[in-house]
Amino acid sequence: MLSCRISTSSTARCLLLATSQFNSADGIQKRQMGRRQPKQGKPPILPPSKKVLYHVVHAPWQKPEDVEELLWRRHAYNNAVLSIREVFRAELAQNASHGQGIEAMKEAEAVELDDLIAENQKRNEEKRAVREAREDEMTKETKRVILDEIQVELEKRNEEKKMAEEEVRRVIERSDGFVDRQNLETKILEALEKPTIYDFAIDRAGNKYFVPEPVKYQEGTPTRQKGRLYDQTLGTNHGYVEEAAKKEQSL
Amino acid sequence: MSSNLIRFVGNHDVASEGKFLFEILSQLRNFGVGRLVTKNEWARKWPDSPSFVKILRAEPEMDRWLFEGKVYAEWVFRGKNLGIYEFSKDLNRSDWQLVHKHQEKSYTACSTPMQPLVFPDSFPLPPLQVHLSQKSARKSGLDEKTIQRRAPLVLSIDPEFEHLKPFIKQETPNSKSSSIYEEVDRNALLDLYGNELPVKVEAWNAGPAAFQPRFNATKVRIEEQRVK
Repeated sequence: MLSCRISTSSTARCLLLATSQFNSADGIQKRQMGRRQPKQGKPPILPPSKKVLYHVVHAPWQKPEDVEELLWRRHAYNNAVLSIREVFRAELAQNASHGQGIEAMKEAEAVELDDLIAENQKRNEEKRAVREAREDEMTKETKRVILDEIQVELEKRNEEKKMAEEEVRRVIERSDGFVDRQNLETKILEALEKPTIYDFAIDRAGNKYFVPEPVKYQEGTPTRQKGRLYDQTLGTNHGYVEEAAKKEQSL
Repeated sequence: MSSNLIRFVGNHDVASEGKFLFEILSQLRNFGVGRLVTKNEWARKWPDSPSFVKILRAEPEMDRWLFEGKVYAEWVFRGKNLGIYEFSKDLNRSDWQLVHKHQEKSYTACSTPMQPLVFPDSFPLPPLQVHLSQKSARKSGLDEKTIQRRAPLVLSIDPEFEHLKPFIKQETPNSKSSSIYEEVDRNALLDLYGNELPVKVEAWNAGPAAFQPRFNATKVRIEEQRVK
């Protein structure tokens, strides 16, 4: 039961102290670290729902001795905690007045951070210089090596090229009737004048029989039929050794 | 009315063996001004020192259940007169009992009134705290001897015992020890709760126990009925 103290002088005036049922915002922090969290589902300001309204919660049993001890020790503990909070507050105020308060500490930390960052930057610069020098060196070295390799390769290829040229020249020299730019025209004309005709038959004696007779310039339209033009039995009209010799003479 | 239809919910209410305050006062002449009313709770907890309330003025709101209203009365708690108080909260406990006129004298006679509750006015600081203070003193060049080992004790009084503030005193303790629990009078603190201790003590926040009721049960019921 909560009751309020009234000044003895007048009963009309009433001073409502302590916790009142009116929703006055005290600004007291009710939830602290040790407090159990309320069950989720509804904000605590709502009245209980129908489901929980008459739901009886039976507190788990505690030993009476424990309850007794806790009951009186709680007062001593709360007194001590509130007092030590005052002690801490006084300490903080003293520190702040000496210039060791939280703001001073924060400022000191900021300054220290700046110093450390500057130092680190300096170190970074030094390292950068060293790194750049080293990397220049390495780049030069790598370039030199690469160029050397290229050189070697090029020389090898030159050598091979010379050898190939030499070989080709030898082959050309050995060959007969090699066509190069100079005698290209003459050779072409010669080939045109004297074409090699492979369309012949040959007997054991070595006589060639050209059927049809090759002509240089074709007159008229040739027949479509290529093979068995005029079916002739070779060796009857031709094939005489004399016939072949005559042919050679006339040519 | 068959008993099958009635279902009782809730735990057994210890404060149900009396009557509501306005239930009593509304049946008395002049709303019981000048009469003595007790709470059974006080009688159970402190049977040796009688506590009662002498009505000076009653202003019931005359709601259906006779819950709401204000009663201004002189409160004599455990043999000590606390002065005029306003009783307007939590009047929905049927714990009140009227003291008959012929019994008033014998009832109010008290041989063992409440003794003042004495707390020590200083408490021993935790040893680590002292050690750290000494260390910082050494660092900043101050004398170690100036570091106090005890600090002034600030009392944390629950709203439940606000009315006993004039009887709570702080004195220098006779025997000083290193534990706060040894300097406090255990029986005096348990005397605050009387013969009927609570059933459980849950984990508590440091500081006075605070309760902020979020809604008025009577108003909720009225709203519900209006909606229906």
